[in-house]
Amino acid sequence: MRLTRLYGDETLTLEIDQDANGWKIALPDGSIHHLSDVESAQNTLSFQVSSPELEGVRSLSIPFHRVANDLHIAYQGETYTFQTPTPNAKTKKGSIASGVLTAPMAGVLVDVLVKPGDVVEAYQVVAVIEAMKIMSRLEAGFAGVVRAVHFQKGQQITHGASVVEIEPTGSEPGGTS
Amino acid sequence: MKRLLIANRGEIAVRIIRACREQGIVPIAVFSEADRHSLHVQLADYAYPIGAASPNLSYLNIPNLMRAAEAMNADAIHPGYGFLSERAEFAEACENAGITFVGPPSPVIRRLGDKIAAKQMMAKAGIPVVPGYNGEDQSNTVLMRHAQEIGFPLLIKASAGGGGRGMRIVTASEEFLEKVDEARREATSAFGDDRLLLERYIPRARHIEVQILADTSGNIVHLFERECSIQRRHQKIIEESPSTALNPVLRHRITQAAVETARASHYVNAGTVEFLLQEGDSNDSEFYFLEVNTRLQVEHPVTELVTGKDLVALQFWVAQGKPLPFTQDEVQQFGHSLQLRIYAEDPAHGFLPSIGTLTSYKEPTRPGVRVDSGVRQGDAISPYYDPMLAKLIVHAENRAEAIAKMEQALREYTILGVTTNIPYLLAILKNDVFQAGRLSTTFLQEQFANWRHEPKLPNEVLLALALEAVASKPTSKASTSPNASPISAWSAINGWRNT
Repeated sequence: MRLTRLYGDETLTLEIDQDANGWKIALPDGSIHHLSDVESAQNTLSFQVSSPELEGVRSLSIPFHRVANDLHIAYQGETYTFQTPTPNAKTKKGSIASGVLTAPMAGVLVDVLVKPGDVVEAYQVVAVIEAMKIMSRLEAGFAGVVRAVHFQKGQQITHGASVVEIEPTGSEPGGTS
Repeated sequence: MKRLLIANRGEIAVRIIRACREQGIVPIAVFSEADRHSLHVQLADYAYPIGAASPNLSYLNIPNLMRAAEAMNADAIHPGYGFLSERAEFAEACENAGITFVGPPSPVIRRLGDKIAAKQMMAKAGIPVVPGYNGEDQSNTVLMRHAQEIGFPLLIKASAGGGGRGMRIVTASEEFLEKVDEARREATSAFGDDRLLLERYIPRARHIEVQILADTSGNIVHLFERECSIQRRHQKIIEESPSTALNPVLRHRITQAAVETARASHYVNAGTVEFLLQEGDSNDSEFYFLEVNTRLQVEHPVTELVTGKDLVALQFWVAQGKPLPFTQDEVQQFGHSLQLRIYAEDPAHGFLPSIGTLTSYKEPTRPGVRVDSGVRQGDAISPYYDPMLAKLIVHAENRAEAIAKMEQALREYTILGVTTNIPYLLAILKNDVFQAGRLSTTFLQEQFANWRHEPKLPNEVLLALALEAVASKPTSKASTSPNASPISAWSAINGWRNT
């Protein structure tokens, strides 16, 4: 069967089929690999790779971790992240125009500098998030009026949470920094 | 010293607990609400809650810690590094409660903790210091006037602290006051003290520090140098001993200056004297006293590996008033040691902290490799504390072998669930300038400012990627790919088993 996975901007196509000893896998570069003794336990994939031309096998044990649609695979000090393509994949781009400022990282909201009704200028800092002593400032992408503040100072927030909503005052959105 | 309370968390708490065990001392941990299930809590004999997750309410809270010590009947406290380790009031609270503080006496911490007074003291003792302003008048006008005198670029530092907190480089006078404001804010939140000092910024300087150890009878030894020039935003990332910058003559001069510093400040216990080294031709290199860190350093293991001495055990020893168990002549530097700091942060995205749960965590084990960590598989990495997960330390016959060993150890280190700086560290190890030992505190700026993380996809990873689709979960469909045939990956398949 054919598998499609996303690696960054790249789309990878792999073929995987059963064979007598386990699995036959064709990689994007056209190479064919025969895998046997496959075991999946405790977030680790163990398997042996053999090739018809060579005697002996290569035994591998590769940790992985799946979070929703993200698959992380650890190998030799690097972590590789893949996604499965989904038809309804949403982009986050719309949030800037609609004025929803989202947390750039998980952390603690150490400061909220605006309240609903406040008029803000483009690039004005509206909130400060801290994680592990690193401060990240949330800036208004454009001038506008604060419509909602969803968190209070001191609360823990997750990556991507909408923190402040701003309604633009007519002018073109300037983008976030 | 029978029952020792460790006023810290993470890897250093674990490190101290292990030393307690070897010395027959009962280790007592403390924990904030965020750390209830942490490794250090599990490893200690007893653990006492000291408050909410925010450091100000727990690990920085002296009354809470003193209450814990009293409740647990501790006769000694080790402060670790960071948090209260360099706060004279904490040492003083211990002294007043009749508890042994494993560190220098409070007056020594106070004298040296005040970077302004410390520099004046060392200048008087004949130790070279970097030109700067360290006066009591902290008004913007006065700071600005001195900044103009020192010239730009210059450094603003928190006079109460270390570790790069509150530190700023200012390249032009127009941005000076803005940076002063920032530094004051950061210094206040990190140390509760907004005083700043200014000093000339020495470009391409090397950071060399000397480990010292002094007993209560006035005996002082040094345990050679560490070089910590590989820093990102003044935060050390790689430390090593010996330094490639020192020849025997220079090594002798700088270690002697460190011993003089200890003598001038009536130092007791383990400490670190930091210097900036400005490299010149052959023996023309100049070094300047920066500050004394009156505590155990994060990078103390490299000294332990090249000297064979256990610094925490030695801290316990001198804290009990015993004389140093060896003389200077008996301390030697063997081989080469390197330490890397493994952080939960994303080097590809501005080094933002990475928070999550360690779903896979496996430390490398091989001869000559030491891992000092405070985490284990399944632990949640919270946003409240420093993002350092572990320190990876190696020891080998020479620097090249130490680098090779380190690279292999890094490749064997499995961490999933949070993003780490391991790929960044691997890239540094492979850098020619690093390998040649031509280090400076601006190394990362010069060599890695435009670093891109672009790993090639190895076939092994692609094979695992394919297998995961069919071998992940018994309940999952064979594949979520739209083109997949709906085979039940499970029962019918030969050649693999699920355990």
